[in-house]
Amino acid sequence: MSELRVEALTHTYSAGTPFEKTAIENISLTIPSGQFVGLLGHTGSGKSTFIQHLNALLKPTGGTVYVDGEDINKDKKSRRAVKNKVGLVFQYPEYQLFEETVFADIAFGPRNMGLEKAEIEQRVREAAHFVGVEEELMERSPLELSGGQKRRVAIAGVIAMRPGILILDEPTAGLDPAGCRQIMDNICTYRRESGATVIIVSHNMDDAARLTERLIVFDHGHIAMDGSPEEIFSKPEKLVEIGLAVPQATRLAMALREKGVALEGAVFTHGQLMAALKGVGVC
Amino acid sequence: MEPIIRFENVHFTYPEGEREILCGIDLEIDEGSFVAVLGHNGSGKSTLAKHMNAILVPTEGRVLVAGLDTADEDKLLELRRTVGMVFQNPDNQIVANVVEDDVAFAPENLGVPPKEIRERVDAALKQVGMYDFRMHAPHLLSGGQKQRVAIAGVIAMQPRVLVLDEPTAMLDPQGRREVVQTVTALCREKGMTVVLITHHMEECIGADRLIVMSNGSIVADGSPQAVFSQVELMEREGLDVPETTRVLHELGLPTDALDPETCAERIAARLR
Repeated sequence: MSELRVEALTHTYSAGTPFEKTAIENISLTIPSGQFVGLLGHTGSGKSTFIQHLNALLKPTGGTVYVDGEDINKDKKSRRAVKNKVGLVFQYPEYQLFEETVFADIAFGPRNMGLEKAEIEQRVREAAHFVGVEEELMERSPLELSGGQKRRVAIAGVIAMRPGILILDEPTAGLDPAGCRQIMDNICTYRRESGATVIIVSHNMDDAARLTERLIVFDHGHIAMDGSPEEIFSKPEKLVEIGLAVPQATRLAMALREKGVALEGAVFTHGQLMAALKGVGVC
Repeated sequence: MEPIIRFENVHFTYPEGEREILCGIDLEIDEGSFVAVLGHNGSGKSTLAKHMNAILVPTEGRVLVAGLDTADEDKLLELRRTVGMVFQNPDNQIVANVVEDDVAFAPENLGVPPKEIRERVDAALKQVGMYDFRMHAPHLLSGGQKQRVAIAGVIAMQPRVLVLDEPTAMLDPQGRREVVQTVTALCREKGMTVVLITHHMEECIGADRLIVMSNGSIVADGSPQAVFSQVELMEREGLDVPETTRVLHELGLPTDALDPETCAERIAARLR
């Protein structure tokens, strides 16, 4: 529901000291309203620094960030306002749960927005529903929940603010495969029903390939690749060169092509691989 | 040869817990083998691991490690020297401000002479590829590096068995590879018995043996090839199987090739 535009964004940590380090340099891009974007890159490639600029947690040392056309760092008021528009879910957000009940924890954001009690209540229920947190958990202490449940409560706390742009840093890190699938399903449901722009930082290539519309690959503080999953995974060699993993199906397709099996098109999901194998008469 | 770890009909229920977490486990692990244990959350795999060095003891049945009964409190120190354990969160396992001090912590507590501590610490850090970082501050290292320091701290005790309880869950792909390569080398080069608890199926591929836990029981046990071949069972357990296995399975080819090259060769051969 919100458009994001970044112009010549640069961030240098500890400028003017011996520890000076430019984490991102001259990044320009536009993410249209409602797009589902995956950010890929090594640890240290600059993607976390980048997302912390999108709701004014970090102030650019160069360049500008616009949300719906407005410079989010224009003044104190805009820096505050953007926090309600752009929701940021950190890595391991479950460590940030602190209230006595699940309900109170999810309600923290909306309460700070100065909403009325009835509105807060409605938003909390709605957010809990999106992430599959059952009603009977609402009065429990968040500390009693399982890891996966805690993670979903933490995400609900951000969703309850109804951000037009939802950014999640490694939302599935540390969860088992079933937990990962559930979180990704929750995020997809939220996006479908709210129309929000969603940006996820992920190390999971298979998820990124399967779910997003656009992938942006960071490398050494720059954008190395930017395109649809089809475009990105039609050049898997480049990802390998950057040192990133490719989806398992892509990896197998590369090995097959090396052995002279002429598979057609970009392959990054199991379905595509099976279709491509069918195309060459393997099955 | 007597197995280094033996579980005999092990049941475990937490005090005041209603549900049985381990439901009659019988298991033998050979010395020098690399065993991976896979299972979804709540399957009992961590509880299984914690029985291997008496963090937990069975409510019924018994666990023998190198002939020691884990319930025998008089043998606890000897047992803990035999089995070293590495946990999920690297930040919770590091105690010192300098890498080499951290690694020296356990041998110092065991009363090892200073000269030998020096040798053990250096050898352990070299083994995990962190020797060049011996004077660094642990909190400035990456997750994978910290976890390798934690492993060095355990192997400086010179245990015969290394049990790792989801050591890669909080690491990025690079860190995960570092840790898995490190423990694989400890097994292959030093003959250490390695038990790796994980929920990442790709980390099990290089193991000698793969055990799948579900609801407190072992539901599959065999070579990784043999276990992953049971595609329906793995799906039922909510676990992933490698794409290579999945494709071979759907093509009706033998599912014994886990790496992409061998798998591609099998498929290409069918075309010729």
